[in-house]
Amino acid sequence: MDIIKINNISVSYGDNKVLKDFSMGIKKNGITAIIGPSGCGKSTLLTSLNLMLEENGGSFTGEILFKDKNILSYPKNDIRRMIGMVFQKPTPFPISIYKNLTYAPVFYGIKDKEKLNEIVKNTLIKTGLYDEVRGNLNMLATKLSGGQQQRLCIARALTVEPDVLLLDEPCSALDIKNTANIEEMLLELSKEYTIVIVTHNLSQAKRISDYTAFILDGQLVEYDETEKLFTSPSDIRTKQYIEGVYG
Amino acid sequence: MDMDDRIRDYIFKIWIAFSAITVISVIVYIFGYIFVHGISSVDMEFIFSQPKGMPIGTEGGIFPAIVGSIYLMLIACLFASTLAIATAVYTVFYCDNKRIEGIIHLIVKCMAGIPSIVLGLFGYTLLVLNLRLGRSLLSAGITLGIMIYPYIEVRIEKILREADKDIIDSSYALGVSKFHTLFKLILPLYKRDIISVITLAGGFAMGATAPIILTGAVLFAPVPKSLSSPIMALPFHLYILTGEGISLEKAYGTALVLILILLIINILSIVLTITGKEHN
Ligand SMILES: Nc1ncnc2c1ncn2[C@@H]1O[C@H](COP(=O)(O)OP(=O)(O)OP(=O)(O)O)[C@@H](O)[C@H]1O
Ligand SMILES: [Mg+2]
Repeated sequence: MDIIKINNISVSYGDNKVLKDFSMGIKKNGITAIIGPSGCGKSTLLTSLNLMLEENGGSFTGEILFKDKNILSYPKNDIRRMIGMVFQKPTPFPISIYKNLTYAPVFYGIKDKEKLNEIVKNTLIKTGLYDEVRGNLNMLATKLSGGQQQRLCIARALTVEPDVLLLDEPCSALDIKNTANIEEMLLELSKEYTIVIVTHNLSQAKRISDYTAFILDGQLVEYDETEKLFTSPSDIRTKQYIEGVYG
Repeated sequence: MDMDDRIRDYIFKIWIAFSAITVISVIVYIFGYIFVHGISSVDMEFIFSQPKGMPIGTEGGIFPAIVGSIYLMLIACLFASTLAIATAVYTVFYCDNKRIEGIIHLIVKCMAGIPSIVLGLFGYTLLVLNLRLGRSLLSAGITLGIMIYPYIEVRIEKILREADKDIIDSSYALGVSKFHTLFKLILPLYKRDIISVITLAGGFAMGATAPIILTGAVLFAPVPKSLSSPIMALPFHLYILTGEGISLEKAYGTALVLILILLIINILSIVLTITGKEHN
């Protein structure tokens, strides 16, 4: 079942049309990877799904369905709660680790200390941070290492119990070990959440994703099971891209 | 480096050294002069008692003026920062019409250019006469507030414009509203910088004389009991003591106290900014 259905959307920033008549469905749970050369519209696609597009000065026509309902029919904040997002550069708030994780729940009206503690603990466990930071919850989050900061950002996105997690090149600022950490964690999370990840790292897409979409110049060239797309792509352009022709 | 460059470099260095020496000597001279002339009249009695003597001010102290000036500063800061934060938040986060934003900026700039004595006249007409607030702590405080409003607005707007966009986006991406993002995350994050700006503006208000002459400052009044009492203020007291030829010695004493208070305020503001940077 597709949790998100993108039907013929066109996305533009002013006069600059970035995605053209774009359609794609995203399966519930599992990991979907989005690949394509720089500037092809991957980030634009992600931001369309949680309406962050408009904060960046973009707009779209066409329709995007989330659980078979047009995303525009939901209140904007609800969509963003249900479809969480993690950015390329780790963006922890410069407040304590604890407060990073209670910030959104408090906004949604959770006041009970016990409940908040539980959210903090659960999300830290899910992101494998619990053992590393349990004694330091009042430490400034910006003092964590880059990899820990990124995992904290994922934990923060989980505090509002989303269904979908969008990740825009979450590992591009991290070293191999931290990347492996996050990949392992995403595989674990994909049992419970639908994960869409943009990546420049083709072997990362191969390692963790169930489905892969290849975008070129704002158009979906090929979208298939990862295994199939990488071993026997049906489009010559996909073949060229995974062989490194476009860089 | 060829010869020309070296000469240019040399001239530039002389220019910088010359400017620095000039500025520093002027500052040292002013402070030194006021200190030397004022220190003899500054003691506990001067700071903690009322003005006395005939004509009043020739003896006694300036306590009501110290308190009056501090009250004026607080009211001015409260009034100005409430409006300034609202304006800055609106222009940066809510206004998507460039033309309205331009008009707001124009108004703020024009306000900054109004001579302070004209502000005093405006305060006198609007607050003292039309709104019947009388010559009082409140009228004078608000007039000073109007004076420092543009100063605070411009700087807070700059702070908000330079606020970390990634952090704001991360908050929106959690589905958190703009209002909550602003008041629970962004303003608290930059609160030290904001308070530092307000404090600095408060010092500026405390030193101003023109806006309060018509709106509330008097030669003699006890420590104000309510917002509607007329008040004494340090710069006005200084002005009267000198202008009316009452006591030059006490005037220097008053100047010294005023400068010391302003110095403390400025240092406080700098400390806030520095510790704010460490904090973030
Ligand atoms: N906020 C914006 N305003 C105007 N144009 C934008 C904006 N963001 C992206 N674009 C344009 O849209 C196009 C696609 O950008 P996008 O960021 O979606 O690409 P991308 O596939 O994510 O690239 P990368 O791999 O480098 O991150 C680019 O031509 C870019 O210039
Ligand atoms: Mg991108």
